[in-house]
Amino acid sequence: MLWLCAWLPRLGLDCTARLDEAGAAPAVLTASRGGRERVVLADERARAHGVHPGLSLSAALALCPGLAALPRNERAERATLERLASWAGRFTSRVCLVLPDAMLLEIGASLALFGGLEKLVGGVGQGLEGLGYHALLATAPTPLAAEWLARSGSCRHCPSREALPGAVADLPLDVLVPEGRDRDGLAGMGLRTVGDLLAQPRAGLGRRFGPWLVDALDRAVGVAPDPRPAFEPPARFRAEVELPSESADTTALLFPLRRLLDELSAVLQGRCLVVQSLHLELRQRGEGATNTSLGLRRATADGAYLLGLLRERLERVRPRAPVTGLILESGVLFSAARESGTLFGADGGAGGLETLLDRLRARLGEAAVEGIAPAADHRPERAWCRVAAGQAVTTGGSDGRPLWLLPEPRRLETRSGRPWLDGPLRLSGGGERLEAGWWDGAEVRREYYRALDCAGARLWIYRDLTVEDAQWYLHGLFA
Amino acid sequence: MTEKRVEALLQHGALWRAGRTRGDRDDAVPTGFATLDPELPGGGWPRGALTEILFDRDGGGELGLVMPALAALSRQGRWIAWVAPPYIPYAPALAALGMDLSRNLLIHPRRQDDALWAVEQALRSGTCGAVLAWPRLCDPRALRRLQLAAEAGACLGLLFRPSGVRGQASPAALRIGAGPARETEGHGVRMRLRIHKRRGGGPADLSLAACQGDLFSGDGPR
Repeated sequence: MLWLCAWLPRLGLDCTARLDEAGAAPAVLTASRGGRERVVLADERARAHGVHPGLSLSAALALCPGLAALPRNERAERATLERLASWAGRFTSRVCLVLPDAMLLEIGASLALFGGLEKLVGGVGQGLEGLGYHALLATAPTPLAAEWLARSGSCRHCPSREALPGAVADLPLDVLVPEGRDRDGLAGMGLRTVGDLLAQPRAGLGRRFGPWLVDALDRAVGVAPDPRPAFEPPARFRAEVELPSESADTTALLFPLRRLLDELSAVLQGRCLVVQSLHLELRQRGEGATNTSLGLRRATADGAYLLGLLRERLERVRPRAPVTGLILESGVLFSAARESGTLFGADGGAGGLETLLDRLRARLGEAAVEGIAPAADHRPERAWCRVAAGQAVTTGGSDGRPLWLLPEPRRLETRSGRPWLDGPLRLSGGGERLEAGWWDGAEVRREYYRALDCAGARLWIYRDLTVEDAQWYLHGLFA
Repeated sequence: MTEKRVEALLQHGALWRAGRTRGDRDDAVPTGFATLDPELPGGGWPRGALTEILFDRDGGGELGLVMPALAALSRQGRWIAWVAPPYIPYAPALAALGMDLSRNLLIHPRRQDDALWAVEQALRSGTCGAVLAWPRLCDPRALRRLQLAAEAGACLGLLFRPSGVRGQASPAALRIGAGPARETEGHGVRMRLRIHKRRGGGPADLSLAACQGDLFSGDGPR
């Protein structure tokens, strides 16, 4: 077994929605401790001003007036860690969470597949950086040692159990006991490193500090077992982001949305999954939220494609109040045969159509795209029907009908007993008599003719026989 | 017999021939009118380009002019997209003219800019064999975009426009005026065409038997 620990020291800050990386102000994460608002995490720009964790917020603001202080959101951190664990499923089937800010990957079985330790560790590191998370990585044969190595920032890779005591020997005791009475007790004994501790007789340590300390040392060097519950990836993807500032303009949401979709896409691609529906909730100031759902014809794992569809959708969404945050939730993720590019680029296959339909529907609405089919009815207005786009239809054509049908028959003038449309109409065929529909209340009694107007346009007109004086109507065009 | 089969195979749209490249005869869809094909570069409606059909009055045969080509494309499994048609494309008549209706998409945008966007998307998708549109306002910049989209999607872009726009510049590869012919010689109704613009050729006039023109043969009752 070989464990890779990914420690995310800046998780609390990395999971907030930063609108612009380059021009961002120095930021810190704050939490209430001892009745005062204190800095718990500071980014590099803030550190450069001398701000460090433990400082009170007022002191930090005095050091750095432009500081952006964000309240710590432990729920969001936990959710982010779980999404990243989901993403890490691309490297191994066994991922464990180490709350609040690290995860463990059992990579022993994946080394051959990914081409060795160096490539695998590189892949994890680059992947996390690409998603916008700073991570420190280390590997060791036991999970606890891997975690210690990562948290110490030394980023070492210890290949075998025999080398373990040596690898952890020079780690400071912070990794084991960050603070408190026991820490002071150990320091009082002159113990500074894990190596110092390992050199002491275990029984004495156990009596003095309790069995937990001995147990931790035994687990770290692999003497005692260290079972870890495996992380079970959820069946849906759900991500929540709070915006750093309220926004009335939905285009400003695209940046945080792009990050979430990149994550979704990475999770999907890593685990060979696809998504067929998405739900986006825009939380607004005060009460209420604007919801929009996206149903896809073609299940996909492509984040850029989903972003394109949501962008079209957002252009049409008008939130009633400024947006304060957004929640992206997927439908059930399911596995699909991996998509592959076609030999000759874009083709006329069904996949291309699904993409087109998704795109059209995202902007124009679900009902805006349809197909047509003939229907079995003698009445011309009922001899066709709307069907789902692409639905196979039984072809029942009838000859002698025009290519255009008017949505409503248009009443024609009659002059000296002849139908008139910008001039007299010349009847030129037809005389088809139609009596139908008396059984369903939409009775028609008509006589259909083909006619030419004085410009030569070809019309389909009928005489309504249900009224006393023959009334003429235009019903179609032989366009 | 065998030759006929090979010929039928060669007509199949899904068939890719190694010897052929873009710019060959394949880049046109035969119109189905024996007198029109020789007048058009490539022998048909230009694929991957816009074709403008200019007409004055609905019902002059402007839609029937492209119907044989559309029917052939649909039977090859290509999609025919109708963006904001002015009337209802009448399914029984389309089926009677050989159209595979299951390959037809009707798109109903609510606004004019949405319509142009939808035309562009359909042209660009690479899935559609032909896209039909009736743009009311279409400046040269919009036409240029559509032309590029048609090139990208190797699609037949058919724009039906009033003949009043004839004087305006257009990037369309083919501009053709269509209307009913005055004279009715012998059987059926004919239509007259004027090719205003084509690649590698000057204007030309011709007359051909209108699609569904035979329905108007002879004198009606009364």
